[in-house]
Amino acid sequence: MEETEPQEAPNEIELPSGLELTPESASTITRSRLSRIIVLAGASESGKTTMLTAIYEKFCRGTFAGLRFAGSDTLWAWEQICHPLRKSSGRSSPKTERTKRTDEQPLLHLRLQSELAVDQTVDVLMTDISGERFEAAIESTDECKKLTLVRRADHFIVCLDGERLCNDRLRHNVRAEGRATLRVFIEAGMLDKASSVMVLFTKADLLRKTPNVDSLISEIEAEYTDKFQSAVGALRFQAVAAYPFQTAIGVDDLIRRWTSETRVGRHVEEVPETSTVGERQMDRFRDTLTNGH
Amino acid sequence: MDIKNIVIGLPETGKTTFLAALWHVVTSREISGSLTLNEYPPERGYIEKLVRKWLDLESVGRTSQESINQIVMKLTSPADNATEEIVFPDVSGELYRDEILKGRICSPASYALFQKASNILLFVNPNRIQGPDRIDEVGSKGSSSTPKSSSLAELDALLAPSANAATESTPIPWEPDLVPTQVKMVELLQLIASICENKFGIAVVVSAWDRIPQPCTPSEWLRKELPLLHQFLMANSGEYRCKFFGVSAFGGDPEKDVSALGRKHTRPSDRIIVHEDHGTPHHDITAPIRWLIFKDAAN
Repeated sequence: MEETEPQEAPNEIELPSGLELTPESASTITRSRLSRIIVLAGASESGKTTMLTAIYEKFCRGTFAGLRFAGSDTLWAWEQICHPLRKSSGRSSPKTERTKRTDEQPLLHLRLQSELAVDQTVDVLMTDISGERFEAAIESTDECKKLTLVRRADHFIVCLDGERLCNDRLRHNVRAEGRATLRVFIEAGMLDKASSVMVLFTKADLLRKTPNVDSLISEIEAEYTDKFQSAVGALRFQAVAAYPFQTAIGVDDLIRRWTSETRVGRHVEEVPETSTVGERQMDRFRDTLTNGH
Repeated sequence: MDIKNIVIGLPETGKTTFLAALWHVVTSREISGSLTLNEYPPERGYIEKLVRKWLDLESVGRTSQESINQIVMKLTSPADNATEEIVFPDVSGELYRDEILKGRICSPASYALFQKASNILLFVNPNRIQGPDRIDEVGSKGSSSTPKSSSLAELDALLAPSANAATESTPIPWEPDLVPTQVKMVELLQLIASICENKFGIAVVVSAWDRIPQPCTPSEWLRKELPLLHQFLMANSGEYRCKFFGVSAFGGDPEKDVSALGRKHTRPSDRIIVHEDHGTPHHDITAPIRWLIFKDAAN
C-alpha cells in the first residue's frame, strides 16, 4: 500500500484582483464564451475612458439599452476609474483621471445579458489604453503593431475630441490625428476588410452648442469615407456625450451595437470554441435587441 | 449528510441577530408551520448566549473575527417531516470586508466553507447602503427613500475631509471601503461562486425591514436601491436560484422601541417581521431556510 505524505495545510489563497485584464488573462473568457473585443483609440483626453465610465455607471443604476448586468471580472478596475467622478472622492467637480501609459493592453470587462432572453449573454472586453500609445502608433509602425488587440477587435473605435473640434485653432489637428490613426493601422495590416470601424465624435454636448461645427463634421465624414471605406469592412460615424451623465447622448446605441455585432466576415478560426452555438446566440441576440426596440 | 450554508454580509447587516431569532423560533415552536429543532446539538453555548440577548431586546454584538462559530441545527419540516442537519457558520462581516474584498485573500478555513456551500443567506442592511453617487448627478441615491445611517463610521471618517474642503486640494484616494455596497455584494458573490463546487441557492435577506419607509416588496426594494446586485441575480438565475425576504428580527429598533416591543407581544416570535414578494407579512423567520433547503414550494 502506498503511503501518501501528509499534505501541508495551504496558506492563504490569493483571489483574483478585480483589476484590468490583459489579453492573456482575458483568453479564458474569449475562448469559452461569446465575447466582443472593443478597442478604443484616440489621443489623450479625447474621452475614451469617460465613455467607458458612463457605460458602467449606467448599469449601476439599472438595466440599460435593453441589457442587464450579468457580472464583471474587473469590478475593482471599474470602481477605480469611476472614483474621481463620485462624491466619495471628495472632489467638487467630476474628473476623469488620465489613463497611465503602460506596455500592457488593459481590458475592462462586462458580462451583459439581453433583458428579453436570459440565455443570450455576451462578454464585452473594452480596452483602456492610454492616448499616448496611440500617439506613438501614429509615429511608429513598430508601436502600432504592438497594439495586437486591434487585429482581433470586433469594433475599432476612433475617438475624436469634440471639445477640441469646437476650437478653431485645435480642430485641424484632431481631424489629422483621426486620419493618421486610421491610415497607420490600415497600412500596418492591423485593420482590414473584416474590421468594423467607428469614428466617434465625443463630447457631443459641446458640439451641439457650437455654431458651424456641423459642416466640419460632415467634411470629416466625407473625407474619411472617401479615404478608408474601401479598406475596412464597415465605417460608421456617431456622436456621443458622456456628460451630463443623466442626459448622456448615444451611449446606449454604442453598447447595443458592441454587444450585437461582430467583425465583418469573421474567420472561422477566430470564433470561440462554442462557435456554432455562439453565432446562433449572437444572431438571436441581435434580433432580440432589434425587435425589442 | 449535513447541509453547508454560508451567511454572507458586510459588518452590521443583521446576520447574527437573524441566527439568534431563528434559534428561538425553531426551539420554541411558537410559530405554526415553521421549521422545528429535531434535537439539541451537544454544543450550543454560543447560540444560547446570542438568543438570550435577542430575547432581552439587546444587541447581539459583533461576531468575533478570530474564529468562525459553527451553529448546527437539525431541523424538521412540518410539511413532510423531512429532517436535515444544517450548518450555519457565523462569519464576521469584517472577514468579508477586510480579508476577501480588501485583502483579496481567503484563509484555508474560509476557502473550505465556500467550496462546499450549498446555500447562501445574503444579508443587506438598508440603513448601511453606500450608493454610487456621482458629483454631476442631480437627485442621486444620496437622496433616495432609504434612510442613511449616521453610524457609517468608517465611511464618515473617510469622507470627513470633503465635508469641509472647499478646494480640490485634498481628493480622497480610492480604496475598497469606498466601493458602493451593491458592487461589494456582487464581487463577494462572484468570488465565492468561483470557489464553490455546487450550484447554490441564494436567499437575499433585507434586514431591518421595519425601517423601510415606503411600502414595497423586497425584490422591488433591491431593484431600486441596489440595481446592480438585482440585475446580477436576475441575469444568473439559471445558475443560482434566488428569492428575496424582508426581515426584521427584532420587529423594531431595540434601542428606541424596547418597551413597546416588549409590551406588544406576549410571544417573542410574534415581534419578528417577515415580508416576501407575495402573500401577507408573517413571523416565520425560518421561511428563507424552508425555501433554500426544504425547497418548500408553498413558500
